[in-house]
Amino acid sequence: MLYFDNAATSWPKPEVVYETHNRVFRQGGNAGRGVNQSSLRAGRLLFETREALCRLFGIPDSERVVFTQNVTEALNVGLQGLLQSGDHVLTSSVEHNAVVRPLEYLRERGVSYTVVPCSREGILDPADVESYIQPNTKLLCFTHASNVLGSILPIIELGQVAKRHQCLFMVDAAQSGGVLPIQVEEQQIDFLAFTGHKGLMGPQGVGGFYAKPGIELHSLIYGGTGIHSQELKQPGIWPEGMESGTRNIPGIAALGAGIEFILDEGLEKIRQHEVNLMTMLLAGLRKLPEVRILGPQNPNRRVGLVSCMFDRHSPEAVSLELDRRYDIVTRAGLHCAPLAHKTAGTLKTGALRFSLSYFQTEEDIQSLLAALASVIGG
Amino acid sequence: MEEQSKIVLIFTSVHVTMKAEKILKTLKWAFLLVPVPPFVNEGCGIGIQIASGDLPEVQAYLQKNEIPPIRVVMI
Repeated sequence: MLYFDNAATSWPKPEVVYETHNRVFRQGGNAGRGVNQSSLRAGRLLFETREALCRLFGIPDSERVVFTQNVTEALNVGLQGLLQSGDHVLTSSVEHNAVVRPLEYLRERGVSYTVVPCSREGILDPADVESYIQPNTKLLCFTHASNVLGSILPIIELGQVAKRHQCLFMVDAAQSGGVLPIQVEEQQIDFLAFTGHKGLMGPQGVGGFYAKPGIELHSLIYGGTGIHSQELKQPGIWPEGMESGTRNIPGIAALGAGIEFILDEGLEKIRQHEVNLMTMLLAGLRKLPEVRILGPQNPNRRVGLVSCMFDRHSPEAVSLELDRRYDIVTRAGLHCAPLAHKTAGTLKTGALRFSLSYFQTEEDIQSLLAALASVIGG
Repeated sequence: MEEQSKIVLIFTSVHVTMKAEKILKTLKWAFLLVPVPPFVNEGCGIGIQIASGDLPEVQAYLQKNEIPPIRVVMI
């Protein structure tokens, strides 16, 4: 199988991720549930993964790293926990439903939001964002990279806009964590939401967020935290007070192994490999007839995914043919991001997305291009 | 560690306790992770037990690393 759906979930993982998951799953133990050796071992694993995330993202205090089941939950905690009636939010026209849907529901609680338009390629001008600031704008919430167009949003400049207007700055790093440099202090990020199973190379079922010290949030889920059990209400102590119920300890430990792999390899090397493959893929796609590439044409302005349209074939039909005839996994459809498709003009049709991984080779790209040429008759 | 001279350091959370443990592991003082005594309401349920004679140095070191215990209990 050739796997080109890494933007949905990356595969394969580094061997150490599988090994860690297997080992920790077999060890047992629940963090923060007593002082037995298994519980303590599990607690140390959570601690070490938080510390690894701090090293990767430049987070000053691992106490402010909270684990969730995925980035969607992390974004929900952030948006629902921060926003109150009367607050206004700015976001972009390439956001995932993980941002747009919570905001839409928050409308019912008196929160308003404005979608700042990106170009058809998914490029966002920070000056445009600034022009939409209102007196009650509390939060700027932007994805770091579009999961449809691949475009990288200018988070350094967006952080500067946020700070100039005393707004909070939230970044959805679902498509950029583990690939693009993220340093929360330098980039003035107040809330960073990440997922473990894509660029961070961990398993599914683990994500989380960083919230800057001083940001008060209420948990979306109440229950056992392992601490202050005599109290009827949630303890306001981080990170445990934000993590009710048992965490996915094997998953979090394996995520830690994935992050250590990334730190050992080096972000620059990982990113360069992605750009090299993307350059080759874009060049190959341009040679094929009837292919329309969505998003920026410059590989340096995008993460490792590219979505396409075809003149005479539907994205679903091409995806199905690649899967059934060539054992090549891709993803067709709206990718849970209708705003991005509206921006690209593909809301009615969706698109076919190829997304890359650090473990792919130039030969894999050549095989994909050859199969695609055969399917669409190029 | 002598039976009659134990000190338990209590921290705000399991996370901070793990942080303190990690730092103490690199140093000379002997310590144990123990349940907090039942009369203690503060903290996360896990404490770090040290010898009472080490308290001044351990406490100063933890303070320097910005992880001071929220309570020190003699047992």
